[in-house]
Amino acid sequence: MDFVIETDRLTGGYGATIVLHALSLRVPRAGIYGFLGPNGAGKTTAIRMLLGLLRPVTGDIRLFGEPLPDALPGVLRRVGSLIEQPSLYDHLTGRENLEILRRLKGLERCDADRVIQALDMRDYAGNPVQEYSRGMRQRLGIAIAVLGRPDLVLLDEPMNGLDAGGLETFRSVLQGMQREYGTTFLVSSHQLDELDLVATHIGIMNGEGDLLFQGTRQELSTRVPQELHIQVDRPREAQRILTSSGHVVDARREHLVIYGATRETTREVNRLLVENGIGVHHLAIELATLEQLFVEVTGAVKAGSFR
Amino acid sequence: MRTTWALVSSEAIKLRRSAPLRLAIAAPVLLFALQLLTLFGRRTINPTNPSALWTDLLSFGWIMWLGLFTPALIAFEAICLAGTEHSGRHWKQLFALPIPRWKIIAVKMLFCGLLVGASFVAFAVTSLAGVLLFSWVRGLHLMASTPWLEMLLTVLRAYLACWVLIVIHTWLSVRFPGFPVPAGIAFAAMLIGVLLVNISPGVFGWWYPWTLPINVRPQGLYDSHNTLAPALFGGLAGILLAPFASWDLGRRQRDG
Repeated sequence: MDFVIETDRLTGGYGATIVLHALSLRVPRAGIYGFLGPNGAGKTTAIRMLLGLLRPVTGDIRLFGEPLPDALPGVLRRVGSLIEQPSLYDHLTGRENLEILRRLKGLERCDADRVIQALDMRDYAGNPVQEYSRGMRQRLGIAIAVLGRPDLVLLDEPMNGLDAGGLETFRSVLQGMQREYGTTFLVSSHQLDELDLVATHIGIMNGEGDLLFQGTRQELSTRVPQELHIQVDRPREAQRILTSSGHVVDARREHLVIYGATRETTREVNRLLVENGIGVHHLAIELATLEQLFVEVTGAVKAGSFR
Repeated sequence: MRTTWALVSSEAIKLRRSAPLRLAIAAPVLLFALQLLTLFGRRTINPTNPSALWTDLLSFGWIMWLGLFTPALIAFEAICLAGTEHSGRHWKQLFALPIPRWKIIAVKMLFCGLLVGASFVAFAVTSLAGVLLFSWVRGLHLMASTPWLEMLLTVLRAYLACWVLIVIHTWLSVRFPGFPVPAGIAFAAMLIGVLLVNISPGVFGWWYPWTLPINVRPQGLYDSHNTLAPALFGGLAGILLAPFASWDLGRRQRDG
C-alpha cells in the first residue's frame, strides 16, 4: 500500500516530558485517517512532529516517502494544516488572512475565492476576524488548511465550534477533495460521531501515547465484539429460552442484546425463537459506532482482552 | 526570490490597520508636537549666524529623537511586530510553510527597519517644518539657509547606526513572547546607556549599541568627533548579527 505518512517508532515530547512512545503511523494515500485518543495522548505532538515543528527524540518520519527533516521545508509545499485553534490575524479580514497564506504558498488568486466559496464564507469574508464567532474562525482555519488543494491535510480538532451547517460543509469539503483530487487527510478529533461519517481509516491511541489500533474502519468493527439486537413479542420468555441455551442476554428497555454475536449466532437465535413460538419483530447485528469502538478498544486493552 | 517577495508582500498586508504602523506614525508626530511647544515657548533667541541658529533650534528635537525616541521606538516596533505573530500563535503556521525559517525572521527584521526608517523620514521632515514654521512666525528668514545636506547625512548615519538595535530587539521580541522581557531589557539597556555616556563617554559610550544613534550627531555629546564611525559600526554589527539571530530563532522548536 502507498503511504503518505509513515512514522517508525516515533518517540518524543516537550523538554524532558515524553508524550509519544514509539508511534508507528501508516496513513494511506487518499484516505481520511481518524486519529483518536484521549486528551494528552500525544496527537497534537505527533502532528507537530509531522510538520517539523517539534523534533522527535528517536524514530523516523517519512512524508510522501521523503525522510524528515531532510525534506523540510520543501515537502511542506504539499501539506496544509490546522493545529488546535486557527492562527488568524484578528485586525485583518478573513479574505486578507487568506491572501497572506495564498501569497506565502505561491498560489493563484482564484484559489482563495475557491475556498471561500467551498466553506460558504462569502457573507463575512470581508469582515474583520475580530468580529467572527468561534465557528466562523474555525471555518477560516479549515479554509487556510485546504487552500490550494494540498496533497496532505493535517487537521487537529477541526470541528470544534462548528454548527450543524458547518459540520456538513466540512464533511463535504473533505469527501469532495478526497474523491476528486485524491487528497489525504489526517483528522484528530474528539467528535467521534462526526468523524465516523467521514473516516476511512482509524488510529487509536491511549493516554500513554501508545497506538492501540490502526486500520480501516471495517477492520476496527470486526476487532471488537458486535451486538445482536432482538425485538420479540414476549421478551421475558425469549430471554429465558436464549439463556437456557447458553447465550448471555442483556435485556434493555425495548430489546434484548447478545454481545459478541456472529452471523452464526443470528441464525441460531432466530431458529430457537421461532421453534418456541416467539414472534420476532427485529433481529440484526448492529454495527458499533466509532465512539463505542473507541471505548471498547481502550477498555479492552486495559483489561488485556483486545486482539 | 519568489518566497522573499511573498514574505515581503504578506508582511505589508499584516501592517494594515496594525499597531506597528500606528506607532511608526505616532512617534514622530508626538515629537513634532513637543518640538513646537518647546520652540514657541522660547522667550529669547540669540542668532549669531543662520547655521548656528538652525543647530540651536533643531537640537532639542534631534537629541530627543536620537537619544530617547529611537532606541525606544525600535524596541516597541520589534515587540509589536513579533507580538502580531505571538498573539495569534502564528509561528507554528509560518514555520509549517515551505519557506526557510531564517527568511521569515530576516523579513521581520527588514520590516522593523523599514518602519523605523519611515519614522526617521517623518521626523526629519517634521523637525524641518517645525523650525521653518517658527522662523516664518518670528520673521527669522531661515528658509534659504536650510541645512539639507547635513540633515540628510545625519538621518542616513543615524539610521545606519540603528541596525544593530533593530536586529537585537527583533531577536529578543521573537525569542521572548509578550511585553515584559523584551521591554524590560530595552529599558535597562537604555538606562545603562545613559550611565555609560556620563561615566565613561570616551570608551563605552562610543560603541554601546543603545548610544550609537545619538553619537552620529555633528554637534552631539562630544565636539569634533568622527560621526561616520558609529554609523558604520552599527550597520556592520547589524549585518553580522542578523544571520546568527535568524538562524537561532529558526532552529527553535515551536510549542506555541
